[in-house]
Amino acid sequence: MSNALSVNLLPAEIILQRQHKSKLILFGRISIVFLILVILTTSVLIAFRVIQAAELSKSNKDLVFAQTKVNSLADKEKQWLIFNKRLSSINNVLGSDMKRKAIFNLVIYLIPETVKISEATLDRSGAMSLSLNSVSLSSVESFFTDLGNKEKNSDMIAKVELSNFSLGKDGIYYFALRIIPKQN
Amino acid sequence: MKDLKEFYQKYKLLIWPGGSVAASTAIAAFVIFPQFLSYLKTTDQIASIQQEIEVLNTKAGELRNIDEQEISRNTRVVLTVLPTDQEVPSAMNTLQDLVNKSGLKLNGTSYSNSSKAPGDTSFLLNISVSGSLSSVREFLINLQDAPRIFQVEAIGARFQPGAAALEVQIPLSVLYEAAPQVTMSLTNPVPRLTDEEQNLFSQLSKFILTEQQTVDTSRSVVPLGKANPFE
Repeated sequence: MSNALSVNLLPAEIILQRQHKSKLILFGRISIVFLILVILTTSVLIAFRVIQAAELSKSNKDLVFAQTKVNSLADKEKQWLIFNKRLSSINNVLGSDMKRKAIFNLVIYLIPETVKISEATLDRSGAMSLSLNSVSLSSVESFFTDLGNKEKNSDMIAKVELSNFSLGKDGIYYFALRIIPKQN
Repeated sequence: MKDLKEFYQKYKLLIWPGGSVAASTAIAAFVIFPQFLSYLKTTDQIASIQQEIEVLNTKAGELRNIDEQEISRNTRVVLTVLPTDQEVPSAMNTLQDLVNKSGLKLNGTSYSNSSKAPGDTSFLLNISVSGSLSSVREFLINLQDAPRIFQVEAIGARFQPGAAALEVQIPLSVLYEAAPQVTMSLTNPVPRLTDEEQNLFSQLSKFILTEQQTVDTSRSVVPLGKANPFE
């Protein structure tokens, strides 16, 4: 017969007690499993740490070896550094007078043959003062034009000041110029 | 003992789970967590060591590629151009050669120690020359190719009436510099030359080499006589 009735004749408090006990047993089993898992995790972690310690030791040995290699080449490195530093210094100081020389060479290059220099001075700033004379006014004009032409003067001249322009009894034009370079 | 057994029997369902949880918590707090942190820290340490090894190996490779004799030669070149001392006689000789090469006549030279403070690194050579304007121009161009650094401070040129040539005064600063202080560190990379510095060095070494060849070819060959004087 399938319709069997089960009747629990135990008192209610005993049933409750048994239910409570079974819950505690389940909780106990779960906590033990958890403890086992924690212990396993700890073992794995310790194994990793041991491997890592070996790796660290090897890396330190390799580092010492690499440092020894570089130290053995210290003399060569020092020579290279001296060479490098010196070349860098030369590069920094070379050409600091380039503007002065360039202005002087430019002006000399632009002076026509018929214009003669009596006196020329170039100062530290690159400014040039000239005392000149010429028999030909057109040469003087051509000289002034070239000094003011950006292409001809390579855009190096900022200002040209003319003073003391005169025609002597000898038919020679005398004049003084001050040429001021551009400050780049 | 009997009390203990009774106590255990009464509370064993609480003791086991409680003990397990306490042990798990203790292991997690005092073993797993600190070890995990140490693991991370050591991983970073190993990575940093590996990086340093790579840098050192690269540096060692670069240094091994540098030819020792070549670097010695190169250092001599740069120390000729910018020496550690004034070397006034050699500067004057060089200047004399440049003046002659440019077609000028050297009328006089005066030396002045322009250094006013420790650390100043130049002295003044004031030269007085005579010649044509084009020769002066050539001299200025030749100064650029000189095996020493001469800086033109000023130029004063005067055409004397009745004289064929210009009288020119040129004060020149001649540079020198104390031996460079180099600080070496294992992990500092080997500095490389920029393209500009490479080109500059090629030019400098050409001038110095040309000078040395000129000195070598100007040496006379002394006859040694018979190979065997007893024949």
